Amino acid sequence: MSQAAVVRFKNIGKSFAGTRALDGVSFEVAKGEIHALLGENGAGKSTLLKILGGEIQHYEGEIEIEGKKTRFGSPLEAHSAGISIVHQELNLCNNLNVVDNVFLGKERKFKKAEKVNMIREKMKLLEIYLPLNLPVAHFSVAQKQMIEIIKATINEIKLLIMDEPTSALNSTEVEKLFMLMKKMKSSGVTIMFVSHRLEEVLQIADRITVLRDGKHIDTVPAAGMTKSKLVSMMVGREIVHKPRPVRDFSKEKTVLEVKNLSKPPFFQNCSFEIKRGEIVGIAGLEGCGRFELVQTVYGLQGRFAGQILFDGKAFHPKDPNRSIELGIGFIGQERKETGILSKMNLIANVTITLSRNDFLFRKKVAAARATEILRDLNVKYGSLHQLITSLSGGNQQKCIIGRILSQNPKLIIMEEPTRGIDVGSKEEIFKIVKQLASRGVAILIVSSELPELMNECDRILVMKSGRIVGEVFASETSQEEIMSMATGS
Amino acid sequence: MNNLNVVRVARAAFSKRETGIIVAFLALCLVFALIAPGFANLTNLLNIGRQVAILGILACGLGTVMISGNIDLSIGAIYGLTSVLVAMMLSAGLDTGFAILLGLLVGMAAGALNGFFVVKTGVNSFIATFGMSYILRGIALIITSGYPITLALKGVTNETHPVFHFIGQGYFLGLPMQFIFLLIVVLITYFILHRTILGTHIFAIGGSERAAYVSGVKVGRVRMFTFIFSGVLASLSGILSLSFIGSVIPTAGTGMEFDVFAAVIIGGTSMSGGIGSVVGMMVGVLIFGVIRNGLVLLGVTAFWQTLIIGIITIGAVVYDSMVQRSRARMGG
Repeated sequence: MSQAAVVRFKNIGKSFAGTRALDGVSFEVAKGEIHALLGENGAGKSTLLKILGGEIQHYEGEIEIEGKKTRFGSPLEAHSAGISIVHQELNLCNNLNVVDNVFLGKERKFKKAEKVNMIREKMKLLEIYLPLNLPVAHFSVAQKQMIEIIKATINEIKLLIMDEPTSALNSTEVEKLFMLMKKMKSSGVTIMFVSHRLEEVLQIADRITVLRDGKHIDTVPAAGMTKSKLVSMMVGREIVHKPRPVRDFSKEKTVLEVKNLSKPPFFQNCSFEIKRGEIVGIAGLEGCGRFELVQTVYGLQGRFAGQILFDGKAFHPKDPNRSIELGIGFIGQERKETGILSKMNLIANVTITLSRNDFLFRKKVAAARATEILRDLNVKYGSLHQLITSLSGGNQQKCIIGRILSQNPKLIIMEEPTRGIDVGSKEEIFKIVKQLASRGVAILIVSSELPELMNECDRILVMKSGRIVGEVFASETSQEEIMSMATGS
Repeated sequence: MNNLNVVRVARAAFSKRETGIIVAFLALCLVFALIAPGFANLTNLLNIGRQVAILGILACGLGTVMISGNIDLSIGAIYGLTSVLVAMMLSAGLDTGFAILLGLLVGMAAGALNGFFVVKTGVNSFIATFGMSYILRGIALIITSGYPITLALKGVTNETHPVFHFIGQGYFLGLPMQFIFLLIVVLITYFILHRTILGTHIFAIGGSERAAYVSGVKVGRVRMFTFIFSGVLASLSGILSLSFIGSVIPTAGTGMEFDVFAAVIIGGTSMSGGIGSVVGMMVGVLIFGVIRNGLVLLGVTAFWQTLIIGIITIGAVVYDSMVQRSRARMGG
């Protein structure tokens, strides 16, 4: 098989700001196969695909394309070498029609009639039938994806890369996509794709490569594999599982109770509760609806069906301000977007919530409050008047926690509380979280890092495709158990 | 050691956004003081103060809207319509105080409408206020049938309406009344922007709307305030101008928003919101006034003023982005 390799990765390594995204990854993608790339969130799949697609130019190691050493300087170079990527987020211009989208950037090479013919031929081959003159805004996500595939394969290509092609499709659409992939395969195109849905991977892939923590774990034939084997390969790392001591919360007051909460298409019929002093985690794969669920509770998602009780009283979240009044704090996953006030100094950033109903801005009082909050959380800073963007990610996050704590919340919702934060700050942040819990604050954490949830939470809810499919005590579970619930195996 | 301190103080001073523009302003004054006869005397300086008053009052409003991340292109039209309406009300025999109050209500209503469209329907403020300016100009033309109104011809004279005459033309403690109005407005704006939580929220939503919303800031209310504030100040300017000139044409204030915009931008206010200061805005306004005045004293035609303002506007923004870039390089 080695002489027929389309791509050969040799010792690929890549670091981002100190963290090792990829480390010594070597494997081959054989000609004419459908090759699945598996791994948990953050295992390094996207980074690898970006390197192959020419979007990341600086990396260690070598890539051989059909036996030749290659180093792409841009996505365009990769494209002209016969490698096309269909991204998870589709990149079509909604106002342009199919023809203009497919030939975007290479309009001049062909006449209009030629373009139409090329697309028609491609469509016939792949058995897709779509009107060519409609702006693509009129098409469904699945149809847009087909247009992306046509766009990616309109020239002769060797390798088609698809990043989570099925994440936004329903089951019939997935079937269609797989038919299409098989047709492309039989026409000689090699396909590499990333998916989180193990059953689909087993159904369509010829071979599977598993990455974990940036390392290549194994490349195996799909035939004879089982979901549980794949799951154990994906999470197999030896982590020190030192869960919180088991505590009985049954006698504690319920802080938040959610009954049959639904917001299609994001989540359906979700019910759970959190007691005083309890730390509850929500695990799940990308797109499972966990962020939408907690954002709904905070009032960021608008309308929903179902019931929410906060502190025993019915609560209909509408906007953050009311949630804050009631005693809910929220830390969003996009720190730049929903967290920091990027053009403002530490005083404003730390006291914005605390002082939101005041009339006067009293500089000295605000500075004193800010100093106190920053000291309590051990934030490292130079001056109160420096911009928050000049702090490290960990210290920014602590500022945001401080902003929320100034309200003495009863419930704190945290999305990816340690994303982009160094190890030392991570520990400090969880120390703060545990202290808060011991003081009776209920804490709800959504995190993609399973070890983190297992070591810091009392209880973990597992979501899959918008539903809560499992609930486990952190002390009695394993990563394998959670992953198999999250992937549905 | 001493040297280091000097360097530190100098660096602190120059790290303030306004420093560059203040230095440029002082240099400009120095040049005119040296070459323009009659520039550097108290009468002339007070004259400049009066001349920039209306621009300055409008700048306080527009600057506030811009810090919040929006723009208000309707201020010139609000200014014009208010002038027209107050002139008509006074001509019709309405009491001065009542006419002024109703005049200010015009700006308040127009601002509230601007705010409503931007906050409730999510229309881009550029478009909402641009459209509003056409509506208001249309109203001014319709109700006057396109004719100018001269107060004296309608029986509204200095004798019959001494108070109205005073607010635009009078002097108090040796200072022109218009300049006193400017001072009051500047103090109020300074207080709101830099001394109240509302001001903090205006900066916060201008820089990071989403984060401010998540943190409990009532974004809609704050935006509403900025548009109403800007509208009321535009009306106040219209009233002062009517009092000073004594007549009004229905197209008064056409294009005025761009002069104000230039002054606010020269003063270091960010186009994208979140950054700006009253001090900066006022220096921007004064640069306008000084150039106009100095060139007149030098006998240069008014056409040159326009050209020079254009150069300074671009220069100020280029300077600003250069400072930003060098700061980013230093990692500060």
